[in-house]
This record gives sequence, C-alpha cells and structure tokens, in this order.
Amino acid sequence: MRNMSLRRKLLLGALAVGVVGGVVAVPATSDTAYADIQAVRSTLTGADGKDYWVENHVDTDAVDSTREALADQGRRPEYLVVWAGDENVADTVVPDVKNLPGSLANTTEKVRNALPGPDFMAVVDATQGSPTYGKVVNTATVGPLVENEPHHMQYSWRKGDKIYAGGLYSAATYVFDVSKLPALSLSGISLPSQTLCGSVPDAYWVLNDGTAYGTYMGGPVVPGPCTYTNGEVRTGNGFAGTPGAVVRFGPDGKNLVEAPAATTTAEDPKQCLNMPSLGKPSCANPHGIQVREDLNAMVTSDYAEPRTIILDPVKAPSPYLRRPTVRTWDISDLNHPKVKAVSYLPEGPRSSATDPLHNENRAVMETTVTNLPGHKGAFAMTMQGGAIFYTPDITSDNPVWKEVFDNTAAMKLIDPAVANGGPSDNGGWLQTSPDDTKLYHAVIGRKPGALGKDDPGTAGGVFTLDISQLVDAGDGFDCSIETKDEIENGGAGADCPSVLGHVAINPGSKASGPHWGALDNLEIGDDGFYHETDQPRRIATANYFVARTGLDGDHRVCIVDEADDGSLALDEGFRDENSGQPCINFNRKSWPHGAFGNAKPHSMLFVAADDDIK
Amino acid sequence: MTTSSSSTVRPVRRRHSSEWRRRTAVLVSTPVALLVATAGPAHADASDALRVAAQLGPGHGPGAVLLRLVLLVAMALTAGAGLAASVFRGRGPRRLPALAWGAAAVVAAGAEVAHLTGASTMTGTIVAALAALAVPVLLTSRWVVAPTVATTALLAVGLGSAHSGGAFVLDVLYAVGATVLVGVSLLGVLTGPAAGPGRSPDSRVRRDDGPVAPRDRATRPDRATRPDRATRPDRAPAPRAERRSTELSVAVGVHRGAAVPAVDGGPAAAGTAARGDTATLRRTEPGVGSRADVRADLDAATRRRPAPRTTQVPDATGTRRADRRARARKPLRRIAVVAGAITTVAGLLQVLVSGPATVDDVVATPYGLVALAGVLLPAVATVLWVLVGTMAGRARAVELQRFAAIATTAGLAAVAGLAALPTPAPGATPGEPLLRAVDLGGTQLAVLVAPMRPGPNLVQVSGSGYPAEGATLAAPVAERSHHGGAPTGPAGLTIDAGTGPVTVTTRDGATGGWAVVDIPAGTDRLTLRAGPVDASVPVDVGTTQGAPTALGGTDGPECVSALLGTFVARTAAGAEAPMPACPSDVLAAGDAVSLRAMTNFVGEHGVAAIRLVSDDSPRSRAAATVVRDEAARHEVRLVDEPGADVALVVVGGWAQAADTLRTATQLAGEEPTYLGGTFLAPWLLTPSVVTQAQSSVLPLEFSPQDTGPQQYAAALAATFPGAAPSASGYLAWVVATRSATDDRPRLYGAAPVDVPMMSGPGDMADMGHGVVNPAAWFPGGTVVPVTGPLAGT
Repeated sequence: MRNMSLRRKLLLGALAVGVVGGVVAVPATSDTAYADIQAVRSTLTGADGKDYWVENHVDTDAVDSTREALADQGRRPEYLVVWAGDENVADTVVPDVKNLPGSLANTTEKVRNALPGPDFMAVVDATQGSPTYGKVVNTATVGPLVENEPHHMQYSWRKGDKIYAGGLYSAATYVFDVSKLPALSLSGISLPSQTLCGSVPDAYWVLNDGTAYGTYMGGPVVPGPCTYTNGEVRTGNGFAGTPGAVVRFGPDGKNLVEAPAATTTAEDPKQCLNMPSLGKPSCANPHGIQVREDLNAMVTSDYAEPRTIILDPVKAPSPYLRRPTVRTWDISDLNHPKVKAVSYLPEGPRSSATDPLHNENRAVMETTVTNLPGHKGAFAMTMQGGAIFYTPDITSDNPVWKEVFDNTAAMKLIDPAVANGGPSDNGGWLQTSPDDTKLYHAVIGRKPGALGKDDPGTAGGVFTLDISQLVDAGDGFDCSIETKDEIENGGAGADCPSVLGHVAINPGSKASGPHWGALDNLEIGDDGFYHETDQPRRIATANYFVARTGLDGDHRVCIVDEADDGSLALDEGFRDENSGQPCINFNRKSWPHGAFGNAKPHSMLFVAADDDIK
Repeated sequence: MTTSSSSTVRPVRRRHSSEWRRRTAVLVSTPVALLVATAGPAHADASDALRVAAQLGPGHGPGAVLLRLVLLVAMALTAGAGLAASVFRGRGPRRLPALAWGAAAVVAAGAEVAHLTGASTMTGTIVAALAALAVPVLLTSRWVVAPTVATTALLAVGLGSAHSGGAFVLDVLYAVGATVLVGVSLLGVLTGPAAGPGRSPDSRVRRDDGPVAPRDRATRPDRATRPDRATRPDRAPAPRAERRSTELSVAVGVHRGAAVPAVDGGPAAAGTAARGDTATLRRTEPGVGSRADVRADLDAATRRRPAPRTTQVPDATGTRRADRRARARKPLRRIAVVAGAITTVAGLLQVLVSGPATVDDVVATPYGLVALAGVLLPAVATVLWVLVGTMAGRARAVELQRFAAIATTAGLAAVAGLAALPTPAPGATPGEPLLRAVDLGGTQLAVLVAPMRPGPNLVQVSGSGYPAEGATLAAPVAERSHHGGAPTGPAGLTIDAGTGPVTVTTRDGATGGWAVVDIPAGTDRLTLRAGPVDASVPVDVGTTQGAPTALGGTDGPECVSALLGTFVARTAAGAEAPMPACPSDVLAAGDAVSLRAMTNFVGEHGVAAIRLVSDDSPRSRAAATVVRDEAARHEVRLVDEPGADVALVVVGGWAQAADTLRTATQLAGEEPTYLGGTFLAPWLLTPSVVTQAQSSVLPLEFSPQDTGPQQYAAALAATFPGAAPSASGYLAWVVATRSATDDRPRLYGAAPVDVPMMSGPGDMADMGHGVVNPAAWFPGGTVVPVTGPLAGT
C-alpha cells in the first residue's frame, strides 16, 4: 500500500465510508428491520394434551423509548390490540386465478405462500402524541393452530379483563392475559372437542366476574343429538350448521356452561332454513352478543347458518339461510342462561317477496344494549337488510322490535353519489355510547352489481346516530320507519335517531369500508393513569370481513376522531410506520415475528397495561 | 499517391459496428430474455416447484432474477477489468478505468438493491460493494489483484449458491474460468489494433494525402499514436512516459494489406496502406513507451519472463516486430483458450450432473436451452480465441476478442439464470412411476405415469374441466371440480402410446384428468395431443410385465395420490423411499383400529341405525366387516335406506364415496336425512370427497392443521398443480419421510365454513366457491378435531 498514491487512498477511503454508511443508513425492507426482537413464549397444555402457546415479538427498543418519552410528558402508553389472521393462498387465489388462467406456473407461485403463517395479536401503539404512534410494537403469534381465521373478541376491555378471542375456522377460543402489555400471555384455550354442541365461535362478552359468554354460531361438532350442560338435548345438523350455542368460559378457558340457543319448539320453517333439514327448524345461529348483568338479561342476534354447499354453481344460496331473529335471554343464573324470547325483526317498507335477501330484517349480525340503569333497550342491525331496529325492553317476555333507522339515510352522506345505499350495505359493528346518547355503526358498503347490473355499489365508513330521545322515550317511543321518505331521510317520529356524524373510509372504493370498530373507552387522567370514560372520542376501525366470502377489504386499521359536536374525521396522525400513510396497513411484508406477509385484521380493543390503568 | 479516403472506409466501419452491435444484442438479449421470461413466477416444472415449496423462502421474481444476472455479470466485468489491469501493471488503456468504474458501480448499486430488498445481509453487501469499487480505485496499482480476487471469489460463490457439493465446485470453476476469459478478452479488446499482429493491418496506415481516416474507435490509433497529437509534444497524452513520436513518410510495399517498411532496421512502422501507397510511420524514440509496447510487455508478462523492451530496440521492420508480437500473444491466447476450455467443460459437466437428463429436455425446456447456452457460449468464445491465432483471425482480432468477451459474459449470465429456472425431471425408469412437466402448446401440464410397465398404465394430467369418464367428446365440460384451483386443461386432450389415442377424462372423487393407456414394451414416448398441438413424454416401460394393481381400477386415483405423496417426500424432503402399494389393496391395521373406534363412537352417541356403504375392494370389504362387527357389539341396526335418524358410514373408495355423499346432500336438502351423522373411513379425507357432504366426521391419526400435513399439501400442490391432498398421500409421505402420526386416532369434523355473503347472482363470481386454495385439505371449509383420542384405541 505504500506505493498507492495519496489521492487513491483518499478515494478508496471515501468510497469505503460511503458504501458502509449508505448500507447502514438506508434501512432494508427485510426481516432485519426487526432483527433485535426477542421471542418470548407463553405455553400451556390444552385439553387434548398438546401444547398451545402465544409467542411475543416485542420491539423492546421502541417500547422502552416510547415509555420514556411519554413519562417525560407525565403520560403512559395505550395500545390497540388487533386480532389478525395470516393471509395465505386461500385468501388470495380467487382473483389471481381469474387473472391468470391456465398457468401452472402461477399456481405454483401462489403455493409458495401456501404454508400458513401464524395468526397473531398485533399490539399497536395508540397513544396520542407518542413518537411511535401507529407502530406495531409486538406481534403475539398463536400456535400451533393455524388458519384460525381470527374473528371477534369482546366489545370493549376494562381493567382486569382477559381478552377472549375466537377462531372462526379452528373453532377455538383463546384467552389472553394482557396485564403486562405490550406482552401477552396465554391464560387458556378452548378446543372444539370442549364445545361439542357448538362450532364457529364468533363474539364474546366479559362478565363482571371475569368470565365470559361467547356465541358459537354453528351447530354441534358432530351431527345428531347433543346434550348441553343443563341436560337439555337439541338435534343439530353438524359442524357449522344449526343450532348454535352460547358458551360461558372461565378466565382459564374452561367451558363452564354450554347453553342451547335453540328452543325446544320448532321455529319458522321458511325463515329458518337449515341444510340439511332439521326435524325442528331453527334460526339459532347466534353472532352478536351483549349483556346487561344488572337486568339479568342477554341479547344475541342470529346471523346465518355459517356453511353453504353450492349445489348449483350459478344459483345463489337461499336468502333464508340468513336469519331475521334476535334472542333475549334470562341470565339470572349465569350458569343456566335460558332463551326467553325469539323475536323476528319486522320487515320494513322496502321489503318484498321477490327479493327477500334485501328485506330490512335479513341477516341480524349485531346487537347492542343500552347501558344506563334507567334504560332497558337494545338495538340490532341487519347486514343485508341495511336497517337498525330497537326494542325498549329486553327483559320483556315478548320484546317489541321496530325499525328505527334505514341506513339509506346515512349512506347518502358517506357516498353522496348513491341514493339507495341501505340494502346490502354490509353493516357490521354496532355500539351504543356508554352514556346511551349515541349509536355507532360501521358499514363496509355494497359491492357493485349487488342489486342488479346497474348498481354502482356504495363506499363504506362509520356513522353515528343521536339516540338520546329514542332511548329516553322508554316503552312509549313512536319511531318506526314506514315510508319512502323515512327510508331516505330518517324517521319522522320525534324520537327517531338522526345522523350525528359520518366519515367515509376508502371513499373512492366500493365495499371497502370497515366491518368492525371499537370505542376508545380509556382516557388519561390527571394522575397520569388511564381510567374508563363514558365519553369516548376515538374509534378504531378495521377494513376486513372474511376473505373467503369475497368481502376481503384492504386490511387497514384506522382511527376515527369524534369532535365535540359529534362529527367524525379520520385521524391523519395515525399512520403506517412503513408507508407513512394514514391508517395501519396490515398488508406488509414483514412483521416482528417474521416475513409472513399480509395479515387480516378483524377486530380490536383499546387496552392499557395493568400498571397504567386505574 | 494515396487513393483511399475515409469515405470509403467509414461505411465499412459502420457496417462492422452496427453488425457487431446487432450480434451483441442478439447474443445478450436472447439468453436474458429467455431467462426473464421463464424465470420468476414461471416455476413451471415440478422439481423447481418442489424446491420452492420446500424452502418457502422469498420468491424468485423477475426482479430478483434480473438483479442476480446484473450483479454477477457486473462482478465478472469488474474482475475481468481488474485482471486486465493487473496485467497492464499501471498502463492500461483509457477505456479500462471507465469499464471498471461502470461495472463496479453496477455491482455496488446492485448489492445495495439486494440489501434493501432483503436479499442480502449488510455484511455481504458491504463486502461486495467495497471489493468491486476497490478494483477501479486500485486499477493502476499492483494492489488491484486483491479486490480482483475477492470479486472473483464472490462471483464464484454467488454463481454456485444454487448448488452444493460437486455441482457447487463446477459453478466455481465456471465462474473463475469465465472471469479469466472475460479479463483476457477485455485485454484484447481494449488494447485494440495497436497490438500489432492482432490489429487490422489496413487500418493503421495514415494516408499521406488526406486526413486520418479511421473513425472506428477500435481501429483508431491511441493517443500516443495519433498524428495530430504525436506532432504536438506539448500535449503528450502520457506525460509520465514522456512519449515522443515522429512521423516519417516512407515508401512501403504492401503484403496482403499490411504495411511493410521498406527499410529493414528502421523505426517501428505502424499504419496501413494500400498497395503502392506511402504509409505514415511512427518512430518511437528509445525510452518512450507505446500501448503496443505495453501489450508486448503484457504478453511477455504472461510468459513469466522478462519482457523484451521493444521500445528500446527500434525496429524498422514491421515483419520482425509482428513476429515478435505474435509470439508474445501466444501465451495470452493460450490462457484464454485454456480458460475457455475449463469454463466450457465445467458447464458441460454441470449439465451432466444437474440435468437435464434427456436430449428432449435440453432442447425443449427453458432450463435445457439456457444450460445449453451456458456451455456453448464459452465454447464459442474459446473458438474465437483460437481463431485469433490464425492468420485470418489476426485480421479481425479485436472483433473476435470482443465477441469472445460478450459470449463469455452471456454464458455466465445464462448459468446465473439457471438458478431461477425449473430443473427438468429425471428420465423414465422401468417400474418407477414417472412425474414430469409437459409444455403443450404453451400450456404447462404435470403428468404422472404409473406403474411404468408394459401394459395398462394410469396417466394423470393436471388441469380441470376434462370430460366426464366414459365420454369420448373432445370438448371440456364447463363445470369445475370442487377442488377447482387448477387451471382448465386443454380441450380434447388425448394420450397416445402408439396404440391409439385415449381421451383424458375426469374421475369421480378425484381431481385432474385421467386416462388408462396401454403402453407396449419398447415404447419410448407418449404423445399428448390437444387439437393441432402435441407434446411428448419420454417413457421407458422396459420389458418386464408388472403385477396387476389397483391403478387401472376405480381406486387408481387414490393409488396415484399415494405415489404422489412419496414423490413429494423424495424430491421436496430428500427422502429415499420405495413407491408404496395401492392403499385399497389391504386394510391397514391403523385404519381398522380407527374404524372400530369410530363405530364405537357412533354406538355410544345413541345412533340407532347405520347405513353402511362399501365396495368390493379388499380394503373396503375388510373395513365393512370391522364396522358390522362393532355395530353388532353395540346392537346398532344396519339399514339399506337413508333415514332421518340414521348414521351414514362410508368405507368404499373415493368414487363411490363422492357419489354417495352427493346423493345424501341432495336428500338432506329435501327432508331430514342422516341426522345420526355422516362418518367416513380415514382414507376418504380428500377434497373431492369430503366437500360433497354438508358435514362429515372422520377418524384420523393426524390433524390436517399440523405442520406436516400442511407441508405435504403445499408441496403437493406445487409438484402437481390441481392434485388434492389426501390421507393416503399424506400417510405415504409420512412413511417416506419417516415422520410420525398421532398415537391414537381422534374424530375430526369436516365441513364447509363459509358465511354466505352473496347479495345476488353478481356476487357469486366473487365467492370462493369453485376457485379455491390448491393446498387446502378442505377447500372453503375446515377439518378440526372434535374429540380427544378415541376410546378403544
């Protein structure tokens, strides 16, 4: 090297510095972005003797630095916990095969990703003002079960609660301990062999004692008669069939009670089609669930028999596989919940015999109860019907349900180009505010062509209704949607709900709005700790339903801010750590747990670690 | 008197220029286009698909393939430039640094891109970039050897990364040989015609009566020999050499276009002249170097002996000088020829070691063609260097060397691209089922032939939409199978072994197309034909008749599924296991235990009656006996007709089961039927069977959700697109891979789980039905354990 000129030495040195600096400074998009993450696994033994686990992949640097930064402001971290499934070939092959027919090679290419990755709980920093606001700080993967199709958890989280989360396809219920967030641990798991009289778990409601009720939408895992824990027997047509059940879980995932959702009497054979036919037809496929422990009442909404065999590939399945019923329960004995009433929601003014699929009462996906002691009412919504119903008293032996809002009136605000936005608007999440003044509703929107070849479809979003007068009216409320004008502009009754706020999500795309939402019921107090609030100002939403159904969404999780006047707006500060765009995109190459690619976020909760909430 | 002018020369130069550029474009673009077109997502062959599925790593998209090609080619050029510079020892031509900088910059940029896309580590990126950039930095230093060697090593490792063992060594040899060949060729190209004998003689003489004619850069005198500069000492191009030249007008004789100085022993002559012309000669003063002199030095250096200081010995006779340079070039040429031979032989050996195994595959598959290019291109380069040594070759030495460099580089790119291409299947062996890919008029098909013995052989072809069994109509049916992820097969597909075409049809309970083809001994190929297009499958059934198997019967598809399970294990998991017997030949002990336990569960479940459905295979008969005995033990009646409270138990083959379940589903839609449950034998777990039932229960010794079954299913789908996983296939995979199943069987519930979201007929197209996960055990549904280990097991 002594013969090397000084200029050459300098050039070589500069190049070396430049290369090394460039490589080090520019972050790679590979797994190395999460290279420092340590995996910590929480394992327990399931009822079948096998090990089940949740494995945390916490970005400790981000967590620690954020906690320090927040501490300087006298604040603590708040997280959004998102239950998400790994996307694999089963979810994406449909459009690809369409676009690339006859290609052996492309099939092979798709199969490269066929081995399913783990499903997981994504822990996202949801602390406003945090330097890592919107960053995924942990992915807690579950195993060994794959392709769970993560679905719902409970509707909101309170201090001390476990998180109950179900897998639609695995028929498993996971119970997570979130007291040490951002890390999770597994408290229990319920396997399908432990819930023999129900399958396809959907949603949960956590009781005051920490146990939870869960809806199992599908029938018994083995066809034939099934004996429930109360000794009653119902005959079902098998896994993912009818009738479903309500299961009470302990915080350790143990099945405390399995109660039949079907009554002992036959239900309407026309409205309650079963495949295969049952001797006693039933609409008992419970999906949504909410509880008023103070009233010893529970409400479940029947959505659909969650399986369909396509006997005729060019003919849609019967609309009567989707249910128009709501069940109110007596839970005065928590270990012996009993169906008190099966209510058929009324057909609305849009209903017709020629298109029963879009009758207002079709597919009752969700229900929500009022909360204040003086209120006994509950709401229900329909996914295909596009309407909202209300009953003032869920403790009644025969609750009276009326249609109080047609979503057409709100959808024209979300998608002004469309006048007939109610039918088949694919509504999902429905939630009352803790103070019973507002009703929040998320809608995916309608796919073009759903109502005919000229149907342009609708965009989706979130809207809020002012329900204060309706709820305060008690049993004597007079709101009822009966005319075309009421369909389009809201009910004429003085106590009818009115649109308070709305926001379109993915306004330029049809049927790309959110299926689910969650209210941020945590508020930072003057003491620096979080407390529950009855005035939530943030809503988290997720643009995903179930890929297999064709409603896949764009897999983004957004936050919507609510102003004092009730207006809604997308939180532009909640941005994806990779793209920098608003909303967290679950379609990404790498996660803290590895390069497993896109994920499907179905539901979420705002949660704070036990040490950070009072 | 001068008669020529530049105007007569330029068109020739242009023609030469455009010609070699065109040839270059063809040489380079053909293999690259072939690689990019066939690489990336186009993993059309079973073996490669297996590799991909087994590794489950990041995909070889076209971008990744292109990046690999660019990186490795740039590394070769960088190392070649370094090699050339190390021979020049600091006096390289002007274009060498430009080439070295350009290639090194590409390497650095490519390495960074690879890093950013996650394809390389930070350390690897830094090492590759620094090694490459150090070459141009140190180009005029003797230290250039170090980064040159490092870059060559990186190139060798990169090229061989797709292989291991002997194949890796061959790739290394190829890389080193190609680098040397590129370097030596660059040496020849960049030193150009100043090299004396290698130059084009008629391009070096400046006419007395006109301006300097040649504009072709390859034939243009270098700065030291340009008259306008040589006559301007104050603008000497190489100050440190203190070169000075003078031009003399001398009378020359012209021999075959070469200028021959009239005076022996005079100044060194350089230039060209037509017969009878006066050439401009350049005298080189003692102690003054020229690039030709450098070249002589280099030639001499390659002989590892002191270089004759030609510049210090004025030589007025071009003949003697040419002879000396010719002698000096010989070692360089030898090096090139040896390097080319090594490269060619390494490429050839690689083909023999890694395939393709048949001539058909060499000439008819992308891998074969590219591999062939990887052999032929360095061979061409070698021949070109041999030609350089001939009298005719000397006249076009630069051009030959340029093509040698291009051919070698293209060959290297071809070999680099092989890693992204599917490896053709091995050849046929009598008695061994054959699995391979076939290109039928642009449609890629997977084909399996078994048992590969004289006589009836069952052939499975990937794809869907074939006509129903028994049909002779050539048109495909519109209806897809339930496991319809496979693309539609060619319409009217037939297979002919020389005994007449056999129509490919569907089989109930199975996916894909099927044909039983009678293959006589001595047949060397099957012909697949669909309309005007056909393709051949090399076969070798030998002469030994095989024992009759279930392959030719209704249980043939299940038998093939078991064979595929072993194939998958062999190629994806590297297992060495014999092909299994057909599962329907005998009731396996484990299946008997499972059936007994399942029937016991039915009895314990309170079901009063069973409708047992079986067929006449040895396995089914034995299974029916097990079920009957166990049912009798529980006093469960056996009935012949469906009923509301009856349990349906199916222990027949796939075809019978699919038909039975389809009928049961239709019945159940009309009235309560089989509410006692639908119970299936373990071997009936395959999508085309279980998807026919609304819900069914099977006793299994494994969970389809576990990693092993998932790996098997994914690898199978990659191996034979459209082939569905099956319990029989998985158990064959388990045996071949020496994996394990659960100790005791459990009951599993199988059902479609799908929330019906269609809002109308228009929504049907967006449903997952009919186009589904090709690797799913239950497309559109789920299979989950619904009991613990069964009692009595």
